[in-house]
Amino acid sequence: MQKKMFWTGVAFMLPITVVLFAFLFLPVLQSFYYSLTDWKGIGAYHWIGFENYRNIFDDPSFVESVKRTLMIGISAAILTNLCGLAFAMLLDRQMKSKSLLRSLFYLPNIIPVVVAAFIWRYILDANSGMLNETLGQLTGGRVTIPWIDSPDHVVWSIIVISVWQMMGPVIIIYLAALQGVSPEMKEAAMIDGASKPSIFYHVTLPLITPGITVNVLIGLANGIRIFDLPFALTGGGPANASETLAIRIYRFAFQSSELSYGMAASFVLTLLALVITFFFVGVSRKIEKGAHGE
Amino acid sequence: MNNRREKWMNAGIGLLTWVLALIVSIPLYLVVINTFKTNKEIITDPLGFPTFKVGFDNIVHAWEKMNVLKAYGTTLSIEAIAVIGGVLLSSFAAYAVARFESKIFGAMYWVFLSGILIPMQAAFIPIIHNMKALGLNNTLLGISLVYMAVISPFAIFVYAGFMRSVPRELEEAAYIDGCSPARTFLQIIFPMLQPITASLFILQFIYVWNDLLLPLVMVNSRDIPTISVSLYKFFAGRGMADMSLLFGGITIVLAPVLILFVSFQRFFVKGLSAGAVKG
Repeated sequence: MQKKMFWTGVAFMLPITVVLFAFLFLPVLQSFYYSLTDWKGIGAYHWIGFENYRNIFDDPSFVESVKRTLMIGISAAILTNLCGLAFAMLLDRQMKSKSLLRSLFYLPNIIPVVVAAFIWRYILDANSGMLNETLGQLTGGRVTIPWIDSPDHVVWSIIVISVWQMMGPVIIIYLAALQGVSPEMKEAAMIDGASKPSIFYHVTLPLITPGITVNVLIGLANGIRIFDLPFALTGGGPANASETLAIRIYRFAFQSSELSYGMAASFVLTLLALVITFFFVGVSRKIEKGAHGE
Repeated sequence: MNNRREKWMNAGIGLLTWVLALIVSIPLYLVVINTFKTNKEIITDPLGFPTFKVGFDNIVHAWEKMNVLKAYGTTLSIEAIAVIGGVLLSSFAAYAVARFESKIFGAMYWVFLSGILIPMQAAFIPIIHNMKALGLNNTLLGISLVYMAVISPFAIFVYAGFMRSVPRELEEAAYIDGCSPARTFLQIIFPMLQPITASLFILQFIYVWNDLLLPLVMVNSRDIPTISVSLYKFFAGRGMADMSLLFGGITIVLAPVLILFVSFQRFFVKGLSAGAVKG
C-alpha cells in the first residue's frame, strides 16, 4: 500500500515536473555551464572557467546595474508592504463602499505594464507632463522637474510606479490576514490597558506574519527581476540610469554576441534572487514560530 | 461623547481612504477621459472632461491600425494552453507535495519554491536552443509551455499551503471506503480548492496577458503577435506624437482585462485571501 501511494504521488507530480525541468531548471543549469565557456551562440566554444565572472565584476556598469536592481527591488518591496498594510488597515472597517474602494486600489495591477508605462510617460514628461503642469498651476510658475528624463530622478519614479502597480494584491492579502485577528484578543488587551500602538505591535503584527511573508516574497521576486516597466518607460535610459540587471541581460543576450558573458550575468541574478529570498523565508519562519510560542 | 468622537473618526478615515483611492486611480481616469478627446484637447487640457467631439473615432482608428483581432486570438490561445494546463497540473503536484509522505515530496516542495524566484532571463538562450531541438521554436505550443513553467511554482506554493491547512479526516474516510487517491483528489479535494483555482486562474491570466518579456524574446512577433508586443511596437514606433491614437489603443487593450476583472472580482478576492494567507 505504502509503495502504491508513493507511485501515485509521483504520477501526480510528474507532468508539471517534466515541464518545469525542460523549460526552467535544466536551462538554468545549461546557462551556468555555458557561462563557463566563451560560447558566442554559434560554432565551437572553449572552457574558460570563471573568467566571465571575473570580467563582469570588473565591469563598473555591471556592478552599477546590480546595485540599482537591489535598490529598486528592496525599496519597492518595503514601500509596497508599508503602504499596502496601511491601506489594508484603512479598509479593514465597516464601510459601505468597501468593495468599490478595494477595486480602485486593485486596478493598477491589472493594467498591462506597457500601457501603464505609456500613461506614466505622459504624466511624468518634463515639459508637457500632467504632473508638472499641475504643480505649475499650484505654485503659479513653470515647473519642469525631469521625473524620468534625469538619471537622478528616474530610479525613484520607477520605484513609485511599481509600488502603485504592486499594491493591489498586497492590500487584499493583508486584508485577509487582518480579518483573521480576532476582535476578542484586541479587546482583552485594551482592558488590560494596552495602548493602540502596543496592541498593533504585540497582538496584530505577530498574527499577520504569514501575510507579511507572502507579500515580501512576491515583492522581492518581482522587484529583483523587474524588466517590463523600465524597458517600456525609458528603455533603460537616460544614460543607462534605469537599466536593471534584467534589461542588461536581455541586451547581452539579444543585442550583442557576448552570449556566455550574458549568461554569467544572468546566473548572478539567479543567485541573488535565491539567496535573498531563502534568507528572508528562513527569518520569517523563525519569527512565525516565535509568535506561536512553539 | 466617546461615541460621537468615534463617529467623526470613522468619517475622517473613510474620507482619507477615498482620497487615496482617487489619487491611485488618476492614471485610469486619464485614459477614460482622453480617449474621447482630440489631440489638441489632450495636450492643452489633460485633466478636463471631454467635449466628446471625436466620439469613438480614436478607438476606431487605433483598431484599424493595430491588427487587434489577430493579437487577441494569439494571446488567448497561449492563455488557454498555459494557464488552464499550468494551474491544473500544479494542483496535482501540490497534492503530492502536501499529502504524500516521502522525503522526495518534501524536497520537491523546496525545488518548486525556488522556481518562483528563478528569473526567466537566466534560462532564455538554452530554452530557445532546446525548443529548436524539439521543433517547438516560434510556435504557440512552445511559448505556452514556457509560460506553464513560469506559472506553476507559485501555483504549487499557494495550493500546497492551502491543502496543508485543511484537515485530513475527509480524505482518510474516503480511503477507508476504498476510494483511490486519484479519485479522492478529483472528487473531494479539487472541489474544495475552487476559490484558489479561480484566483490563480485570474492572477496568471492577467500576468500572461500583460507580459512583454517572454514573447519579445521567444517568438517572432509577425507570426505570433501577442497583445503586449503589438502594443509595445505600436507605441514605441509612434512616440508621443499622436496622443489621441495612443489613448484609443490603450482603451482597446485595457477594456477586456477590466471587464474580466470586474466580473470575477468577487471570486478573485475570496480566493486570493484564502490561498495566500495560509500559504
